Amino acid sequence: MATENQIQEWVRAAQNGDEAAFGQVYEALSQRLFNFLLARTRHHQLSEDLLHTVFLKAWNSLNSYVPGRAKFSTWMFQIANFTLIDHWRAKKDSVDLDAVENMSAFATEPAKFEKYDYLLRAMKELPEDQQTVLNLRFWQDLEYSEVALVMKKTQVAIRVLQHRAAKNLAKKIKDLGLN
Amino acid sequence: MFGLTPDEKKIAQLLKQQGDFNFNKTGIKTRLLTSVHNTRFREHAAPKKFYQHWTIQFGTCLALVLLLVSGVSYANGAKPGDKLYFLDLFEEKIELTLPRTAASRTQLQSAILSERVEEIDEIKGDDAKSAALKIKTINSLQQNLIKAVDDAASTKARLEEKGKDKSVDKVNRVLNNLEKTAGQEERRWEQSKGSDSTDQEQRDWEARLEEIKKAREKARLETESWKMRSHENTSEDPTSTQDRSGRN
Repeated sequence: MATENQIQEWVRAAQNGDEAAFGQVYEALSQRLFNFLLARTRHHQLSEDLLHTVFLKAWNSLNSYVPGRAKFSTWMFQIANFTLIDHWRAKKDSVDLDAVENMSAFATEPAKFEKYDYLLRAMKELPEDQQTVLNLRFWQDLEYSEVALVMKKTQVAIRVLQHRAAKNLAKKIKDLGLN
Repeated sequence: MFGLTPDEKKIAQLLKQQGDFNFNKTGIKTRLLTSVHNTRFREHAAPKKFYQHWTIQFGTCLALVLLLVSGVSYANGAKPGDKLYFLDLFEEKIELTLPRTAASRTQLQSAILSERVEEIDEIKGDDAKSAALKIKTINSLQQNLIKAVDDAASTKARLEEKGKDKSVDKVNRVLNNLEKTAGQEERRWEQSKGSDSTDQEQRDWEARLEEIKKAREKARLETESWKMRSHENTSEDPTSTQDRSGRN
């Protein structure tokens, strides 16, 4: 797993036009970003398309990232979050994940589907920002400061949002009759 | 996870247990790098170095302007031959290009010429260097004088067409001064005639004298009616001491 220093080096090289270095950055961060996108969209094909869009946006605005100011992964999650927001605004109607699509997403991982589908369904019931904060804080392991940067809120607001989101999700899971 | 409530801890554990989802990592990478390759290189320029930042560039320009202005101010008293004299000339050129009325530009040209006359008189020394400097300054003065008279006459014609009497009056005063200056230069040039000059030098000298005489005559004619009116106005006031000089 690449360290932050390694990623920063690749980023600097990519800022000078090194496409191979950008490929390395993709290798290091794509999984986490895909997890984030899939948890939010619950649509496999859409998540892959959005992942491509996120990285392409990052490449096109790479010179606006200042190395050392914040983690590059934080900056990428910020782009991913805004890409999602833009996508929902453009689509208006949310893409509902039906059981068939969900099955196809986990076709190679049926056990995972059985185990976690309920969780994603419950999360989907929450407001958008609560879903995002749970995803970033507990799944992607971002710090409060990083989540605050991604979501453009204060750290206090993130803490409050996280608390509320976890409480709501727990209630949702109970309401679904699940343990 | 320090500081989390029991609910938060449970949710965190659940989410973490999901692990990673599979996706077409290689396929997306190939597609991405193709898109990246097709994107213009210009969009991936390295972050600006500190000296490319707009604040540094603006500050540098401001510093240069302040340096120039202070240099120009210091050079105001400079004479021909001084190191900063070129700044004095530069300032004059800039001032002439600044937006101003036609009449005030004519006045400025006249003021610059007067300054040139003073500078010539301040060039001391009998050595070759001083002589060369004096000749150079005189040449510059006389060429500017001829041009100033032409410009003033054109300006006066335009102002008269527009009926701007006050501005015409200003230009007439300038032409009057230019006529006096041209007279002085005519006398200076006549005294400068060398006895051992070549034929070409003689022809050049005569051509220059002719130009100065024409400039003086032009200025005189332009201001003739104005002088007559001024004389009529002042002749009603016996205490007036207005100078009615003007060579015929």
